[in-house]
Amino acid sequence: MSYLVNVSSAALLLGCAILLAGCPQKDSRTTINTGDGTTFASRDFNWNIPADYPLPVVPISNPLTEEKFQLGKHLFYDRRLSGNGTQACASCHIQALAFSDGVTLPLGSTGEMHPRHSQALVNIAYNASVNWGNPTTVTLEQQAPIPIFGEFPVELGVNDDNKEAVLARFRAEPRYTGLFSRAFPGETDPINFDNIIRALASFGRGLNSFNTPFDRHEAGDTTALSSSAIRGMRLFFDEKTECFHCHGGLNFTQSSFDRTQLFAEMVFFNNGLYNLDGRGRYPEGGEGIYEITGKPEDMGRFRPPTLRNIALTAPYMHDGSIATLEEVVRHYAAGGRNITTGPNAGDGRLNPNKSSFVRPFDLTEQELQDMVAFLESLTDDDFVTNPRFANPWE
Amino acid sequence: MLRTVTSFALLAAPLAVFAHTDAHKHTPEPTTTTEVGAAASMTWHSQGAADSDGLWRIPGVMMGGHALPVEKGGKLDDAILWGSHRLGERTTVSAKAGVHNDGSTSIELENLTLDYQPNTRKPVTLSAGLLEPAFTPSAHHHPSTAIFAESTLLADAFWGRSIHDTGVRVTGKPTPNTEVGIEVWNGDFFPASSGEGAQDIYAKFNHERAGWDVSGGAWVMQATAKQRSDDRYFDADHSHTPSGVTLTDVQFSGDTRMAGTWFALSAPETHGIKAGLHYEAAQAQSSGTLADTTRQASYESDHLAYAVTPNVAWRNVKLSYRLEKLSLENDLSGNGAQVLADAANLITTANPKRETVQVNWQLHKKVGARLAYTKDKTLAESDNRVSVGLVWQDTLYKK
Repeated sequence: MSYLVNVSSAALLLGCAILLAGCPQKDSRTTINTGDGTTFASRDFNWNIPADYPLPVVPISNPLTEEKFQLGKHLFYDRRLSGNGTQACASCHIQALAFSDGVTLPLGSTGEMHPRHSQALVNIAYNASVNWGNPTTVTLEQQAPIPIFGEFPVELGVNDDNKEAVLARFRAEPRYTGLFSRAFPGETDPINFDNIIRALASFGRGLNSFNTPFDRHEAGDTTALSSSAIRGMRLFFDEKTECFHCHGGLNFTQSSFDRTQLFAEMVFFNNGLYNLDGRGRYPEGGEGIYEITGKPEDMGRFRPPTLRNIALTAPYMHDGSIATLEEVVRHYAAGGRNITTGPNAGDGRLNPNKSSFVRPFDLTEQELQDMVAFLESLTDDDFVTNPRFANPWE
Repeated sequence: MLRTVTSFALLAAPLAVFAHTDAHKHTPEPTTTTEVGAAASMTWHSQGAADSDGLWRIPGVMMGGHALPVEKGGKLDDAILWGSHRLGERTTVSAKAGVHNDGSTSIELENLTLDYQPNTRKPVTLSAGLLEPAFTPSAHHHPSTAIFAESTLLADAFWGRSIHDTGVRVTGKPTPNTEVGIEVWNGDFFPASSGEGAQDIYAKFNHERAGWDVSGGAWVMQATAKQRSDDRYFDADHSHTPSGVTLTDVQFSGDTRMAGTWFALSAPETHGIKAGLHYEAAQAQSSGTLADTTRQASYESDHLAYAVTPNVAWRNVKLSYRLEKLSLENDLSGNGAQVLADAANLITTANPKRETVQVNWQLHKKVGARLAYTKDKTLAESDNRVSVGLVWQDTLYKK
């Protein structure tokens, strides 16, 4: 009898367990609604951006079209856009160098030296602020007039005296007639500087680069990165080196803005390059956003550039004062730069305005080479050879 | 709200005839003035539960609290010391301190409670201090006092394994076999955030008849969070991942409503054989926003979890099987939805599942051993594991 009780008890409990094992159960799922579909899905323009990456923001005043991109490309490579006809945008932004120029400080069309190193034009549509050290320049439409009309320093050297002559050159070029009319349909006289700026901004907005060994690694290609680069990647994203705090995100810079973001986080950092007076001073002409804000704590603060294609854009820093990637890594490992002689002597490691993320860390020679290998894995060979971005006049 | 009520009814259905013993409370018996006890557990695992990056983030659910993965190799799971002392006829103070394998190595005060029983017609207890919740036994997991070394997926996913928080509790016993209670918390536990608060109401009962022992309960909880991070891996704005992988700190702000039911049933013992069954199910619904430093998205979730554990004991050996499942529904909307869903690891179509077969062997009055095989499908790629452990429990002082 007791055996029967035992069996029936066990059977009852087992039956309950089986019954309960079937409920409650629903299939897991995740639904995502990104609004009007333009954040990721809109690919009516050839962005050269993977489908699962968010698109950059385009100003409502300058909708992006292929026609504007093509016009902008012609203008970008055209020396006739400079006052004296000697330089184009492409003179300091060379495709093979990820649209940087390989020199420490560039010379403008009149021979004047620029105090800043030429920036690479890589994914600039995402930039939260556009140039090295100006938080007020936030769109490519604001930036484009600066090299054209800027006087301090002179770059392309267009001014009131020669701007009509410059426009006359474009009106005289048969290819431009169609390019301008297609880019700005309905306008009776589309060849003007407003449209030139819109077209250059549109070309810049299309200069996107996301086809690197690192991207392929992230997409699941286990052979895309060397073992050295993988070790370097881990170091890069480690709290020990702190690199990713300033160079994080899909664009390897915190100064990045896309359509998924509510607002742009404009960030500028002092990385301990200089300390002329022991109180943080930087060389005149290269003082960062201090030149705009006048705040002492902003002395030496610059926007962290993207690291995409960084191996192609030597020399480095806002003034091109570090020659190689290896030296850059050593600079950060030392927590700044100590210049012992010359007009810029001073210990940048002790700069009071230096970012807290720039602090000394130990790095073996192998680790240093690993980090360089990782940085080299951010090179997009397709970007620097893609005919879509190449000189249309050749 | 309607969904909650409907789901709660579904969850509570199996409870119709069941109810509980409160094995986790360390309050002295009426005749005991002072009692001190201790327990410890250590386990060796053939594999860890974490992903290759060292993280244990179940796809589809935001986690937090103390829900850290088991690690490969041998480790002390926990070591706890508790005590209680009757201060007077109506007042008792109790405390518990311990070390857990949850990333910290320091001794933590987990419980310091003052209980007061006023002179009422029906028994009422007022408790205040650093409390362990009473709404369900699985709200606080100690490997050294539990059948399984690993807590339930339900507890890990829904309240970060264990709750210890400052709060007050009022309990009443309308009948000798039933208890109702209400607990109000400061919110220092997942899924709440500190200062935002949480509240729960519960009812439970136990009954013995003809050798059958049934206990069970039902509860509802509401928790509020403001900018809640996954505090297992984030401290301020820094990520602390074992392999150096960078995580985006996606923070949740909003409300989480939970409801659950549980029961334990044991059959009469015959010829030294005793069968039992434990069941627990819960639903958690969150509503609020997810945000990182510059992005935001609306977030709604509806998660279900349950664990069924039949067992059979013979003499000093107990064989248990535990089946656990989660179903996770998430809805995100807004421009930042895709990026935040990726960063918070919320994209999934899988139902996480874990099965454990375990043998407990009481080697000695104070020492037990356990051998478990766990088939773990909580992550996309999970390793099954064998676990071997020892548990020690003792009453050090009793007067």
